Amino acid sequence: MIRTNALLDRLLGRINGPLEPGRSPPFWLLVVAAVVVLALLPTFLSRYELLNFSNFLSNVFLALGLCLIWGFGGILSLGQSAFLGLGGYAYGIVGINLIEIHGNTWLALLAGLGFPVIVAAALGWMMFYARLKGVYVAILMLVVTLLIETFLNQTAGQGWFIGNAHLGGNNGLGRFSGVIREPPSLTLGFGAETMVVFKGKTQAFYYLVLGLGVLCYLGLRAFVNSRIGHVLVAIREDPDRTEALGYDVRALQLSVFCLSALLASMSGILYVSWGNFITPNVFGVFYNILPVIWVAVAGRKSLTATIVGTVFLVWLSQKLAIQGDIAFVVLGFILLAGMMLLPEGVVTGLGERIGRVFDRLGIGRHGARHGR
Amino acid sequence: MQQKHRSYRRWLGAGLALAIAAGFSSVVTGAVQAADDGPIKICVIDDASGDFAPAVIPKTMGAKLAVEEINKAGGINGRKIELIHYDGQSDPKRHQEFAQKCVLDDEANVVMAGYTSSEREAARAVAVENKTIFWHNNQGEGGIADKYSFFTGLIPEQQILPGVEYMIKKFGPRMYILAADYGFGQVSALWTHVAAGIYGGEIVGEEFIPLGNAEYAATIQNVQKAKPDFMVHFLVGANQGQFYPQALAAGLKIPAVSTVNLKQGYEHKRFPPPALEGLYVPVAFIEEIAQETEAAKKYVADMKAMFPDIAYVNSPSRCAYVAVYMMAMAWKKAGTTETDKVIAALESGLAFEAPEGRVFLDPATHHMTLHARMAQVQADHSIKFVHDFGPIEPWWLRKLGVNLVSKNDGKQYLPWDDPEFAKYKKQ
Amino acid sequence: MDTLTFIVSLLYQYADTIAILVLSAIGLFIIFGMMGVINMAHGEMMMIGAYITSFSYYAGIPTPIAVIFGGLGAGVVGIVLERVIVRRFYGQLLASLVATWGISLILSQGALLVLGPLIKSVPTPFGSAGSDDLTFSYYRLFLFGVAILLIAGVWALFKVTRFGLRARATMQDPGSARALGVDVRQVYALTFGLGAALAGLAGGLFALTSTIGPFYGQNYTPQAFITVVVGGGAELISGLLLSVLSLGAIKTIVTNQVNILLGQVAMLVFALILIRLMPSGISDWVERRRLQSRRG
Repeated sequence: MIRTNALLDRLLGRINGPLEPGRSPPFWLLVVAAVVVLALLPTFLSRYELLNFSNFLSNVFLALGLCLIWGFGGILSLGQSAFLGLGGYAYGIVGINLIEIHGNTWLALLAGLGFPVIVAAALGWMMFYARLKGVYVAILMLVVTLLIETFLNQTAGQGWFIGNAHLGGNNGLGRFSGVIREPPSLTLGFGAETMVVFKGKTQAFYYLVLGLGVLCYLGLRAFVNSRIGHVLVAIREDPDRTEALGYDVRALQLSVFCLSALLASMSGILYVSWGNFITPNVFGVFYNILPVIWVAVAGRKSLTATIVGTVFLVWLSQKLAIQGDIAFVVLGFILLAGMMLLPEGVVTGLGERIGRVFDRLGIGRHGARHGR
Repeated sequence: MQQKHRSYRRWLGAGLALAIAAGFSSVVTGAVQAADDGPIKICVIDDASGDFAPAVIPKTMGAKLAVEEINKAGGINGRKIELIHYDGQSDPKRHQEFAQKCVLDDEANVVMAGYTSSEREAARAVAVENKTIFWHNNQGEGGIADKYSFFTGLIPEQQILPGVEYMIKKFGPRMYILAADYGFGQVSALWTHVAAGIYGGEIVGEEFIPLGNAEYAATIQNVQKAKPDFMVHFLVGANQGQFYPQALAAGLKIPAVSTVNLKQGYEHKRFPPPALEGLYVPVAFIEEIAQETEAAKKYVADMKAMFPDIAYVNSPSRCAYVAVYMMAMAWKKAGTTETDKVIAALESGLAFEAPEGRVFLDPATHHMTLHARMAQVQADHSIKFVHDFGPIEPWWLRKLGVNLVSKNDGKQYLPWDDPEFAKYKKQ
Repeated sequence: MDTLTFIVSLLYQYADTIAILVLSAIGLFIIFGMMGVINMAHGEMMMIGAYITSFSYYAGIPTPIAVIFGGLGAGVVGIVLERVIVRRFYGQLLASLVATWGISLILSQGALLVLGPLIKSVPTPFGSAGSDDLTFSYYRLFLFGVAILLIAGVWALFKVTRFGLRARATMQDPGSARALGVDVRQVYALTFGLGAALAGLAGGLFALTSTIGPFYGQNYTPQAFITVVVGGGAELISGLLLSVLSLGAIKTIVTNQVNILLGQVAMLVFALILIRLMPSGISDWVERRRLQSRRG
């Protein structure tokens, strides 16, 4: 047994729990190893590979948000990408207007995080307090995101300015108005000396995403394994019984919905910082179905599976797209096969099968100890 | 309870599997550094799927034909041209991603991308930021003055202005504008207002149609209510093209001029006659130009020989063809692929025998002098060229004082940037 | 223009909008109402119908038969899909969403790969009528007629035939139906096939007035979903009718008075309001009112 001191014990106690698979010391060793590998990656990757991989990683927050409300909360939303878009646009609009005045994007960041949460709160209040269930929540969110997409797509005209930011319609934020005024990359710091510009191809951006990713992962694990997390899962399993036991189901659903919107908006802000570009496409049906696919195929009841599966699937989608023709057909088959053969999620399912193989080979103390 | 204790093995397994997959793919992905005597790379981002695919697939073929011909003739000073093609999926986001791949990973010598202005700008920004030459091989809303950007297609002063003037003289001054609601459609509508102002036209109605919209019952009735002498169309994409059969079915008989339809999406081949009868289109090149010039006849024959399945040899295909030849000439002249020297070669006053006639790359504006003709669709969907506009220079940017040889403006000018045209702004 | 012309024109546009909504949604309605399955491949069923119609037409088959072939072909594909894939996901609403999206990808991208980005359009029959002021396409009016016929047909099928009786029983309570000897699996298979066939029929009909391509159905899918969910699955016909009539009205009026875009926006906003007010769909709300009035 690995000896841990009291503090570490308490920490592990918070982020380990029955609701998230993967708790033992060897598991955590693996996680630490993975993070170390990821941290060292920039030294091995080319400029382009780093740029590309940063983009993949920044999708993780969107997926985690969906995993939270769907896998743990039992609420499917077909509009998570809408919050990504709202975050990206809000950040971009405020950024375009203030970057020259302030020299940084703190306020833009605040706007990008805050605006989607406010919208989520309003929508969530409307949905959960009307006791909307199941498919209706999903479709309502779909309607909302289509609304936003429809609206934004027609903002190419000359009149559609918010301050200096031209909404630009289908051409993208700030990209079409004569004078190109793109949304700025995250520019954060305290005073001129410490200012860092997180442009997509920089190592700074990569480490920002990685750092945030680790923090969110640990934070969400703590959340999920806390008392509130257990109540959330109870709501997923049987909302009426949970309410009968005295918990404020609707308030919790609303809060978790807002939290997932916050996570999605992080992906949005990072995306804009990465490419200085965002179009109304992110509000479309396709981009909203994507996180559902990632999370469903990866394993929606596990944060770890979600992260691993999302990065893999995003990487796979791009690889296939580059191959060209057969890309999406292959993706479709993978989806179908995944859902039919491994309904709990491919990462979860695969891992389990490999785990059983290890078991039979007698690898690992625990297996031997339990004599299986 | 044993399940949970076994869980670490689950992750060990998953982690191993993914690490192997990732490692393998990194090895496979590793871009081979191009040696100086390796092939010259042209990176093309064209939609092979999505709403714009029908119009863009021939574009890639035009580029391929040019590359094939040049390589057969010995390449560029012994070096072959390699064409890399990515499917932009009719999505500006993808265009940005692939432009990054072209420039940073494939280290292409030139990027040619974009059908719509949204796609174009997504890719062009990446090329320009990385100081790579960029070509837009389609007609456009014009006005872009940038050192690294070059254009092979018709721009408003070469098609909207002469086209609208022709229609006003032939049918009368009242016009109704139908434009796709995004950058290109918006700017083209602006230019139509300018044309109306200059040539004494009157705009009796204007509608911006959302991209992807396919229902026109209300629009058709609006047009009928307004009773224009003619319509001006900037309808983009397979879905917006639905207007024509629906208008026919509804018995709408008003003539129309379009700078978009026919020459890209070959609606006259896809919709049964006489859906497009009476449509006027100012063109530099469409497949039917083979009736007018020998060079076009040969080009069309060569295209059909190399691509027997090609649906129609459209305008973007010729634009891509010309662009590849332009680059070839520039590389030969410069004797190197160094960007600055190649740009200097491009700005040295290059001329080329395009299928529709001689074209000339204007050094100051990076746009081309093109020979334009007015096509009219007949009842059986054959084409008759009813007017010859002759060679038209890209005079507007020059009028604004743009000279990219000496100064890089790095921006896009809109009609209102011209003090003379500003007075035609929408009332 | 005078009031009469305005009213006629508005009614024509309303009929047009309703026709499109009904035709694109009725197949989905049946599948959703019966099995609670979100069929993301609905658009592809329409696409298959359109493709078969086009190929048949250009093979010399008369247009009406070509359209019927489209419907039948899509129906067959639907039955096969149900047997092989969809039936594993009953009761798992969200898994069925993902699985059918996989099917959708395979079918649409596969069609693109194998058959290219565009298929030849079929000429619109019947011509037009009207005065100098306003003209109408007979075919669009014909579509409206077909929509009404379909609604009536589906109603009759479910209310009058034995299959309909079995189907309704299964919808209400599959367990009891099975206990009473209904072959529930067969009902599901046939219903899915029917829904797919209706989608294919719609696809074929629209093919006579549209461009046809691999992603052709995906234009209609979001609208169809929204119509279905707003209508609710409790009571098929009333749900469909009320949903289509109300959404169609808003869209027509706003499009007519303002523009296409705002028409679309208004319809979406209205759908939002309806979902909020009637969280299980219009038909469920109607059901409850009916039960209440019976009691009280």
